[in-house]
Amino acid sequence: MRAKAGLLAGAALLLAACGGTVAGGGGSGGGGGGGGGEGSTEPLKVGVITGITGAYVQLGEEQRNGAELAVKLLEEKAGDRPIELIVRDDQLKPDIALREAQALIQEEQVDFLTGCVSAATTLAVNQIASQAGVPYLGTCQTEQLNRPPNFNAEVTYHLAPTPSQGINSAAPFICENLGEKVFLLLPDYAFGHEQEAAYTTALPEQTGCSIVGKAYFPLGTTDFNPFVPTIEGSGANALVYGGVGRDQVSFLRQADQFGLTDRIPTFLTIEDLSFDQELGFDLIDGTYAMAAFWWNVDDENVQTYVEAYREEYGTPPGGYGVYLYNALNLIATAVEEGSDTPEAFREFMEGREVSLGQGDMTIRECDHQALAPIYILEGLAADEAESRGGDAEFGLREVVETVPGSEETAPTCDEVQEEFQRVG
Amino acid sequence: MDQLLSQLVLGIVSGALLVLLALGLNLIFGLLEFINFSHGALYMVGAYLTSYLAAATGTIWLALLVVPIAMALIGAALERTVIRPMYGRDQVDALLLTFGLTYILIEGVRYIAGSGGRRVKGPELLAFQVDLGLGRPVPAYLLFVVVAVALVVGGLWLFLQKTNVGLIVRAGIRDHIMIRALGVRFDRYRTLVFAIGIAVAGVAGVLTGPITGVYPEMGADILILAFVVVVVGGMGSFWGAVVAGLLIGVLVSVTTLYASVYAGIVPFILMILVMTFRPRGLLGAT
Repeated sequence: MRAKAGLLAGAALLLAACGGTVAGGGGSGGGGGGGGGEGSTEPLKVGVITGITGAYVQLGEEQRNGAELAVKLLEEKAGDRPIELIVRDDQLKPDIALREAQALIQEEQVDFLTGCVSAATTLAVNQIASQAGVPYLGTCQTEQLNRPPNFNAEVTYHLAPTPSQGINSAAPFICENLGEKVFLLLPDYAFGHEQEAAYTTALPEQTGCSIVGKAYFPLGTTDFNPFVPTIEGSGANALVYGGVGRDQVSFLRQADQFGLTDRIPTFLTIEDLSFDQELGFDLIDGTYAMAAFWWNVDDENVQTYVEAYREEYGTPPGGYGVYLYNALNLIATAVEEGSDTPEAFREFMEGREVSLGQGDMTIRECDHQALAPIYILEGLAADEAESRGGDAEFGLREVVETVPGSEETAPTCDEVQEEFQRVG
Repeated sequence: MDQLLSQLVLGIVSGALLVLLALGLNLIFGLLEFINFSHGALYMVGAYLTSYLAAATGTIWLALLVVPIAMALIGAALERTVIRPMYGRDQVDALLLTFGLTYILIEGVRYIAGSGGRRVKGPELLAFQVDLGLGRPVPAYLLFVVVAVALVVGGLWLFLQKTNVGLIVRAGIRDHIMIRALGVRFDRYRTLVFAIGIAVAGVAGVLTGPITGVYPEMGADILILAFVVVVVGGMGSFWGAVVAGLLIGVLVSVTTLYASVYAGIVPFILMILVMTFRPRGLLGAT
């Protein structure tokens, strides 16, 4: 009997470890949803699926904050319809994202889906959204969401930049200002490989610029010391580091102990204020990064978002909450204008030019990709924070270059169409 | 060649921290016949205590003294309360208990310190680099970690070999029924060994902080490798854990140089080879 009880307890614990969900977040179950039609007062149900536990927990929490803040600022209404936000945790696991998307569509009957901090989960949610015909606004950096076979023109939208958009924007800066012999240190999963493909194309296009070496590290690596001699032995005079979150913190800490970032200028593919804060001024001083959002950008709409976020949560927002803030604003505006069916929402979104939390942004028609500015950021020392960063505590970086969102840094619509035709 | 030697040195640093965790696991398993799944979480608790002490005092030196003592007390308290009822029961019970304990510790730390990580500043005294003649200098702190681990390993070995308490512990590992029959209050030694094992994990937590920072899941990441070290070295073997820890650290480091993408699987390939051709481990008893 005891053994059976033990096994049952074990099963429960394992389920808790592997399959449990964290954020229930409202939702009465059943009823509602399904497109209220113009003049409807049915609740507008928006499902957010993001990583609230797991390696990118800060990014997931930022996304939840961004969504909740948008709903609050919209006074919880889209036109006459009350907005009901239902937040679910995908734990960065595609199978859980799949299950949560199914639950949100079938049980909660959500009208829209949005959120994600991992490429793997965004594809899972998009798959379910496609089957059910529920519009999905992806919010993490991936090349795959709006490319075949994943892109479904009826439902799929991508509000975050693709890795190649950011990398094409940053490549001239890296080669002109940091070094022409570049080493790539990248995470060994889809996002890292997408980065490699983009850097391998973009860097050699710059005059005199080349990739002299590359290495991959597994997701969740804590010991980066063995990579240091490899990087230094390659003869590189610039380093691109493509890891996110905990990996990035561990890497910069160890690179600093070796004096690596002093000797070889280092560029980060992904930046977020939460990681910068954990690293502190002394570790990010002298590093460079690119980002689709920075809290101190001089833009009226960016600052409206930043001030509201700061008032609500006590700190300026990092880079991931803004996608959800934008998503909720776009959805609410569409519904307010009566575009609350998937077909009408598509018409509303395609080619839309709007200014929200990232400043000016266009959702282009051919692949529903958002084109927004990319910022090149320089890490500051503590004594520069106030003068250059604009805040003694949070002025960790300064925008040193702004690359406007345009087709010049993304594949053109012609190229996208060719790809769709090739795949059929 | 210089590059290879650099990788060897850095591999020894990585392996040294694994050795500490594997030794604690091994010691506890040897005497208590108890697989402590919460070892990684307790290591994480030690690292968090370090982060707060280091923030308060500006250095990790005090933590190096206080945290192992605090962790020993926590270990003793755990052994006396929740671990003790598990003795003599199925290993599955112990695994479930310590698995649950791991969750409680991680979520507890998340609740108190937040989900994000905390920084631990390395000692100013060691904020320089040492030229070992390998072409590239090595941070002094990493060399300090190797020396500190060597001292802990040496001290633990002397304690087990040269003291009466160590003699009883070793005898208990071999045959605890006979030890009890001789009138030794064996329960006290179980508490002591569990406390020592956790204190050693605490030392690893202190030393790791300035290298990787601290975060709630840090114990889970390294515990798997520590188990691999125990299996490769030989369950219950003191020097087996030391040799296997250093070997795995060096193998991962050298593989990083030539084929970084495969570095993560090297320990598991080694474990499969050892389990297939030498199931008792490199230095395990027959």
